[in-house]
Amino acid sequence: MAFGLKVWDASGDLVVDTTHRLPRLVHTQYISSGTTGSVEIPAVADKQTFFITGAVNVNYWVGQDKRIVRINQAGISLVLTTLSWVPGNVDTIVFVFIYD
Amino acid sequence: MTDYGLITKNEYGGTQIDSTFQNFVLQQSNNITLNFNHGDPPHNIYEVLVSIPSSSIPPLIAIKPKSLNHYVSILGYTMQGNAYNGMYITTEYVYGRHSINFDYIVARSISSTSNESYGMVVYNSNGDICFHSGYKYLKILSVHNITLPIPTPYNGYYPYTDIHHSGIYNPYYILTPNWAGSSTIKVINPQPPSTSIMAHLSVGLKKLTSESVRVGSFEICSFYVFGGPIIPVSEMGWQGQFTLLTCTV
Repeated sequence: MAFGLKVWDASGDLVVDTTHRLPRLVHTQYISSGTTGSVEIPAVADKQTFFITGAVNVNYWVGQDKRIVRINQAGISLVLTTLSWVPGNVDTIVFVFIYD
Repeated sequence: MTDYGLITKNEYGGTQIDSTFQNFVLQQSNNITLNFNHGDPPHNIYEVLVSIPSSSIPPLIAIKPKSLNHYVSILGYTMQGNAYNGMYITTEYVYGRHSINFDYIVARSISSTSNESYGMVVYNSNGDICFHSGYKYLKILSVHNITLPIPTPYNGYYPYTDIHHSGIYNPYYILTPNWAGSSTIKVINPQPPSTSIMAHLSVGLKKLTSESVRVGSFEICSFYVFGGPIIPVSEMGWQGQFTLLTCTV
């Protein structure tokens, strides 16, 4: 049975068809180093989700002291609709997507 | 924001396009070769900063490793002001010079209208474009949940797992989270000043075949340090749970 939508661009290339899963950003969380916290994200309820994390401005050589390194991101977990984090030693950015 | 306008769903029942959340479109694609020299100073040899188009809109970056011999990993991003303008790339320790080659794509939500005056556009209630048929869209092809045991650089144990994605050929990959950590792994001389070996570790991707990839931990670098805290591997923030997505545009 025909289902859904197909979209082509002007060149005739298929842009979207009914088999595609398209990720959509639902939440961005900036986490400062050394902090713990959580936030509710209602938009992820009952959705397939993934989150991307990235250290922001990593620093291998704090004051040229190679014993002090700033590459450990916050530890992130997403359980149901709660995004939680434990401290890292560098700022961390988290992007939460749904892609069902 | 209340929904508005059009909703389309795929054959799995998932929402593809609506007017609540913006889709992600291809902004940049590139192939790059990075050269590393792990044997000599200066210290900035362990990671390479690769510029991406600067924007306050979060980037979704996927990579396609081409190197069969070395892991590649995205450590994070650079920000200036509130704009994301670069990504940190690293690879595994190999004494001396070596190179890694990979393709990457940068996807972002739509910030400007396409030049194409053909097809379909969906807006949200604020007038922002959620979908425009003139763009190429990032599409998730498969999702793989991975558990890796904690690496122990004391004895050279760097766990990995091989992911096979049959029927999906040469995709781009998104590995999340982008983990990196440090451990001070051995005290050489317990007498003051103590001498230790510090290791920086990460988890990355290594190409196997067109339908498989290796996900594994690796050592970015290690070096002697004088003094400083001992950091056992149990305290380097390892969680061990990763997700690998295969995707295309």
